[in-house]
Amino acid sequence: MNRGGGLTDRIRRAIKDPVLPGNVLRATNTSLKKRDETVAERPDWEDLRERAAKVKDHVLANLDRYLAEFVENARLRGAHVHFAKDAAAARRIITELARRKGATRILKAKSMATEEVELNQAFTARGFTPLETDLGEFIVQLRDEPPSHITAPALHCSAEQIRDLFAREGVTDGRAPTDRRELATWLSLSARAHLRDRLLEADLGITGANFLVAETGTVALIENEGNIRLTVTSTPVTVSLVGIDKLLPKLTDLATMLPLLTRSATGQRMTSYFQLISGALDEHHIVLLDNGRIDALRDPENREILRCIRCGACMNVCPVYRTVGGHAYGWTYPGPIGSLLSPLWRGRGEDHQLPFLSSLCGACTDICPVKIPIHEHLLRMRREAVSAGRRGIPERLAFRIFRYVMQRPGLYRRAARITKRLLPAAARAGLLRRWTDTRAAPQPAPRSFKEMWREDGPRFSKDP
Amino acid sequence: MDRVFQRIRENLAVAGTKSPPPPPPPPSPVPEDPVATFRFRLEQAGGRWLEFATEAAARAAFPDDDGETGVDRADLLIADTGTVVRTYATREESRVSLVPPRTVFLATAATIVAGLPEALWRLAELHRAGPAYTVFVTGPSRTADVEKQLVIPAHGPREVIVALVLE
Repeated sequence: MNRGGGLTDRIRRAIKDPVLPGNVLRATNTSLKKRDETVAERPDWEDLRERAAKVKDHVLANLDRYLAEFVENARLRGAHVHFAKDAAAARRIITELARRKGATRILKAKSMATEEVELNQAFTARGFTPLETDLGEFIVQLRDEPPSHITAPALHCSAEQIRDLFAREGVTDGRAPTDRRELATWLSLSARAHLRDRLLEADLGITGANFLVAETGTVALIENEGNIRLTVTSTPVTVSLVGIDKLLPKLTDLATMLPLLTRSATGQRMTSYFQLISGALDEHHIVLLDNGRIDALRDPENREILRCIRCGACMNVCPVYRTVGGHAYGWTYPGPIGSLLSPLWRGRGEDHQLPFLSSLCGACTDICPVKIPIHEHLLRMRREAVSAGRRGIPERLAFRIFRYVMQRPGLYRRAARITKRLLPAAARAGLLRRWTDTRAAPQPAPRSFKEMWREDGPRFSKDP
Repeated sequence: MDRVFQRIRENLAVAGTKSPPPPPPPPSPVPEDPVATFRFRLEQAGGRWLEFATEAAARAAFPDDDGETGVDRADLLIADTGTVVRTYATREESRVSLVPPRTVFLATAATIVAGLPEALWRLAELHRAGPAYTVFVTGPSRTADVEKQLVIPAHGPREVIVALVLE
């Protein structure tokens, strides 16, 4: 698994991987291009973003009310509603249900919530593993990896890697086309044929959801492959695991959210399929997931982060994600938004280092369809990590010394003079290798500003 | 469940201010020729457009007992995205537009709405009234999970035809 080791190990492994950085860059570039084309068609894009942010803020500020309304309406329409406080509870509810139903053939539609609670692992421990029906999820399942992107799970793989994987796992037989342009088609169609029978009849279907609608008790699902529709209709029992942050008040709110989500995620005006399930299935269990979301409501700043609709656009545009891919981050939600959600929802020691994995360029904030000021929250979480004493001793010591020197002008001047002479020498001696391996060594200016001022006088002020 | 609501209320109380409910989404701009717009968007999404004088003629063109074609009807057509909207009575019934390689939706021009807000507006009444299962179909099934390259079909139909009945 690519997720082993500490954060630094994973980053180093990702950067040194012979194909991964190229795969990630190509795929994210394609996504961004398609996104930009379809966003340009909507002159009201900014207005839509503004509306979406307001809708989400309103729901989150009144979450108790809308959650109660959803539960009531879903139950009235025949759905069974469960509540899972944490990942363990979600795993227990769903595996227990499968056991009660005697389900062994389990279909799973693409769902980040089920990744978040590590549902497959819980099933595997009981002796049977759900079949991932989405092509990208199926690929990473065969590779025994988690998804590396929230809307394009196998974005880190090249077609050649998938070709070899499918041959090894018996998904394909016969010779793969040598023409690269035909390879993706051949692989995708082979997976369809390979999975076909298992997708047409099974015992239990597991889905996530893109939205929940309070006024109608609706689970809303978007997709392109048809695998979610099969998961829902090929099985007598359906379970949907959904974070409580996905609530919307009214069905018409989907008209605000959907164009933002599909354009940001895949550059589509509309996906091939969009299902509205309002308790109409034979047996529908809806498991509402907390897992840190309720605690995150407490702070209004953190609440803003819960606006996220999981489009993945911030990953595609992030210079860090584009270099290291998703596995390096170490949890279900990678990229800029993941660097906020991981410390907020999971909060393990290493998660608090994720906000430092950013250049703070703000591209994530610009692209976010629900206007989360992502880079500002990253900066805030850095501050919080520092005040909580979560940074290492060398960094704390360095900033201590920096502060001490900056507060003493005489000492600063002397330190600057020494640094000016030492820096080029240190670079030559290879002491700055970790910086200079990939970048030019910084060259100190020949004269400091103070020296120029003293020697040349205020002549710069006359220039326009 | 009550404990859950209690915990949410406690956390929200700490954070204070309630934001006002947002206004409903504005209506879509009405296209000059809704039928032409629908057709353009449908074809852009990889779907096919056909016109028939009568429903009988359309049904004759697509016998639904060959196992290759699922003949269905459209409840609504969304011009802005080339989308067919269909509410099914049961999950089994919905497989007509999912399992066979080709889907034909019989439709009339009267069912065209301008955009998603208009479609949802009509569906809201239905879904508020009781259990309902609605599927929006925009072109054939597709995937781009191998290097972001578009492949048709994925697990659903390879071909989606909207057959407009003129009578």
